[in-house]
Amino acid sequence: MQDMTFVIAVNGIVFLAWLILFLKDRKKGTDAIRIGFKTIFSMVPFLFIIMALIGLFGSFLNPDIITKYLGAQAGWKGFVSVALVSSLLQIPGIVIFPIAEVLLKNGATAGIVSLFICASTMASIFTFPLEAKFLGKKIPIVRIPMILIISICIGILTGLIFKLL
Amino acid sequence: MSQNEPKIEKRPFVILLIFFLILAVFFYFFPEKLNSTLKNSWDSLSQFLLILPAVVLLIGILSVTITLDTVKKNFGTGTGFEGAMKALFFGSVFSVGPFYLSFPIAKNLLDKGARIATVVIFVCAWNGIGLIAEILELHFLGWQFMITRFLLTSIFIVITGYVTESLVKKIKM
Repeated sequence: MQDMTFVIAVNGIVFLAWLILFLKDRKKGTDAIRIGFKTIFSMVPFLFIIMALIGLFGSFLNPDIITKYLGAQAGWKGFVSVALVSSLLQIPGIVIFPIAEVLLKNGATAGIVSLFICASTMASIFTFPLEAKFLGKKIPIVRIPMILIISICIGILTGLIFKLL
Repeated sequence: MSQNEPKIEKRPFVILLIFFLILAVFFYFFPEKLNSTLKNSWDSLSQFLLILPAVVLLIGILSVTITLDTVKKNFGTGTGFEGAMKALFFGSVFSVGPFYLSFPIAKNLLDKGARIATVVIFVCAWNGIGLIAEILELHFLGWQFMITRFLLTSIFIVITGYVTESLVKKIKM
């Protein structure tokens, strides 16, 4: 989806916001740039690995396979398997959307992609120890399975909405 | 200094190096796949680069303007609909760092007396509907998908908050 108007608009609006911040407070303006670059730089390794995997994924898996397992014909089995895999993953919101786009383009349904995004960004079984360390065991014990349940609900509803659209 | 100032760690870069070595060996055996892989990767990466200036600046702007103090002051111990909306909002706009930063901040809010429901909503919103992530979602997946998932996720995050709170209170450990 190469929508240049959107790209220009978003970059423009954010740049304007930064300019206002910079004119109001020089230090905050320069701090913002430094922190922004540092944050993105710290994500560079992860970003490259994801991009490489997307490349590999595209050249080894053909759309037929994706349609079979993640498409309309996959049915509830597709939902359950994606939910289980996603509940193991913790993928940052910033890098999940390129993956989601490849899946959608190659025949996955909107519902399954929506489920995948929700379940793999909001919680993971592997981050339980970390979450428990800060918030106590009780919260993640309830929250992580809850995320799995709501992700399936969100996936099913997204699928229904996209059928109607 | 902002509490969002990230530390650059060496380990991920070492992992990246090892990953590329594995890839090199891999393509030694499948040289015919190299071109299509590079093309696919570039297609995704180039799209990402288009939106990257906005992402970098927005991360910076949010980091210097919305501090933990702002969140704490506005979060309050408020209950009901208003508290839930505030938690959704601050979770989303405060989400400029990795997921594991959301837990210490959530602990901080809990210690300050925020109720469990709103803190859970905050953590879920941080990871599921972060402002910057939503801009990328709009860019990559289009407005129909983004708005649908955003609204559904917001509603279900609020439900998760209250259900988690009531169950946590019942669990005896």
